[in-house]
Amino acid sequence: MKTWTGSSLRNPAGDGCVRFCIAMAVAILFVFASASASPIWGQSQRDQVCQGSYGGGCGTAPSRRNEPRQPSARDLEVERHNQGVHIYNAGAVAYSKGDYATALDLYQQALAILPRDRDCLAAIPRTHGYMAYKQGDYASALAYYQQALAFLPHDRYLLDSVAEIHGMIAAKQGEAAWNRKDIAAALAFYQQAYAYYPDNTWRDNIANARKALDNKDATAKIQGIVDSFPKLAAQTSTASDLSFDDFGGSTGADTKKGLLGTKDSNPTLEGRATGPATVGTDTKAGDQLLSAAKTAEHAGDLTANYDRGTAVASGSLVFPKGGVDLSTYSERAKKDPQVISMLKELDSLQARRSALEHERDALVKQRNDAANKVEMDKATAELDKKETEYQNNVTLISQKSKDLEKRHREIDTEVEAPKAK
Amino acid sequence: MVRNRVVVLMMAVFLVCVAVPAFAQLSPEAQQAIQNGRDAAQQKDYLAAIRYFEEARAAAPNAPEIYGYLGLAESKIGGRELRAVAWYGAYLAANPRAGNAAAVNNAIAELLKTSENNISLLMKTWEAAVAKMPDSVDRGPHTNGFGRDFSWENVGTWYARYGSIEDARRIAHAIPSPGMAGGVFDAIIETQVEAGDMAGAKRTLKSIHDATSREIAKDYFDHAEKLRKDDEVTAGAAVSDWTELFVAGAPPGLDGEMFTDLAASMHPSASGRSDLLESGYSEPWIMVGQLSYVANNLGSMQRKIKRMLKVQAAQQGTQ
Repeated sequence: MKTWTGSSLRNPAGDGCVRFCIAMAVAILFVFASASASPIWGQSQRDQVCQGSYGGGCGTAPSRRNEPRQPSARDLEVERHNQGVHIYNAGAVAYSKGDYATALDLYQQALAILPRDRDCLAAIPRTHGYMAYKQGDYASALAYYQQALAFLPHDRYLLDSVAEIHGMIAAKQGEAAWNRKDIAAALAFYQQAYAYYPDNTWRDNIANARKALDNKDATAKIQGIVDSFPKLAAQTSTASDLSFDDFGGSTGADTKKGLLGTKDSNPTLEGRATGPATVGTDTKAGDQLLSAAKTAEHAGDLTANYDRGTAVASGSLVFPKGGVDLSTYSERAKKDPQVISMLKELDSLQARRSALEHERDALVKQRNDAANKVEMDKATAELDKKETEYQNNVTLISQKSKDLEKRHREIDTEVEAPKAK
Repeated sequence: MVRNRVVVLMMAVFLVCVAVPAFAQLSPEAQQAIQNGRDAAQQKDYLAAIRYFEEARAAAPNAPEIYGYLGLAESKIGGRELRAVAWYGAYLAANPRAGNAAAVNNAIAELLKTSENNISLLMKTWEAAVAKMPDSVDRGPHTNGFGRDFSWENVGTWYARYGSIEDARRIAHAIPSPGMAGGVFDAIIETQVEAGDMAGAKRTLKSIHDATSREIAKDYFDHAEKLRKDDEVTAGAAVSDWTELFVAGAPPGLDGEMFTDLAASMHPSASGRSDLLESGYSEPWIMVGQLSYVANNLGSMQRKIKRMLKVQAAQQGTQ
């Protein structure tokens, strides 16, 4: 983040005191010009100047030739005033050269001569203010400039400086906030700084802070989307119809699993078919039964995870198990007859899906409780049919959900996709 | 009598040859590793099983059954479907007349289906992530602007490559930049031409409004036949093609772990992310880039595997 480095502080020599000097200089030039243009007048004026040697001596009584005139009280006053101005100007020169200590000293001298001169009164706190500003001590600088403003309340330079320092203080706070990664606070401070003083650096800082804030917000949202992605490694695959025995010699039983780990099973039944759950391995009779039972559990249902993950990730692009999330649908979309019809159809399919899950669970239990092979085969056949029906139901739900989403997109403006300019 | 003995002996030799499974012909080291792998699989520790089966493969590199074991163990871990398919592909390439070839082919089909579901979900996730990117997101320290459109183009292109033409078209129509929209339309045309849908490709061409994209599209039309053949020509399906697929051909991130737990791999502490941040890339850009990386690599691998399966099926059909 850049910091403001420039300064628009003016040379104090350009202020009220200087205006007085310029006026004096113009007057002197006028006198000299008149003298050269008119010998008579010039003599007279030259006499005044030479004899009196006081720029402000116009109007004093003519003195005798070759006899120095005694300065009047006014002459002395003018001379003293001029001396003060001269010292003040010397202070301004020192100031402009960056010799602030000398400048302060000279301003003090000028002030001793011109104790009520507002420029001299303001010059000292202004110089202190600028010195503090240069050292980055904005609080002190502000206090000094405000002191100076008390003497020159309408001075544009001082007013600008105070605003600028207010801005600098805010910008400094903004920078501190930025460094501690509190971007929102940084933005607020930069905006405050810019309101005090519309500097381009602060405008750029505002833009950068806004961008950083946007990025932070987007990062959190994207992280949320990514975090909702299902942990695939935790899911047990039900895709394989194979066992390790299928690929070489084995001492294990010759068993194969069907869609639910039940088809073509040939367990040796001794009473009730039970055994340890070892999904995906076929070593003991009864494993398939528990495998089937496990598979039937919702937690192990890949489709359930898929639906949930997608719904979270893409704003209900796929029909979630709990129903369609209508929060992204406009009123127009919700009232669309086609959407209503599709929703009803999906509800019906979803209800069937839940029923099928219960029926499937019941059949798994029935098969687990089978007293003999005949009963078990019967339950197995039923279970396979039920599983097929379930898979078809899921496929249909998926298809109908896509159709619904398509219709939704047709009606509503895309939420997730960018809008064409 | 002697003749009878010879016949009996021959029959015995025949029976031994037929009945003794390949498992028994392996070296003791390979057999032990296989047994360890099966024990681990029984405990549902499939990663350990895979390690043991790899040990077995090192001891017996040409034993088809070990490819089968590896395929089955990989298939048990969600997100590693394509690796499982690769091992099954190797098994079938080495043993085209295997008794369980039909079951293995079924398993491959199921695994591809699961993989497609995962990829579909990944695409939706990627799309949702891009939608959350700020409009003004920078692509990096040396590029400004077009960050979001660039990402949209990527998403659209991959929708097209996965065959989701409708999704790709939806994205393309929404991209403000004609050039980047054209990139998506080009990808759609490429997919359509590959599939032989020339009429569809011509219709898509009408949506392209920038010269460069039109030039690229024209190239697809001009080389349509080559495009269709290229895939098959370049896809080998020998055993080594399959076994090396995830060794030499897989990008580093696609070693199976990355896609099995996407959230963990994209955690802020994940390697590479802080380096990119320090290089000046914005965080949303990095995250979307990570998603793009997974989707692209997974998609490329799936396309490659499908081509190899096609070639393999054709080869086995002619045998």
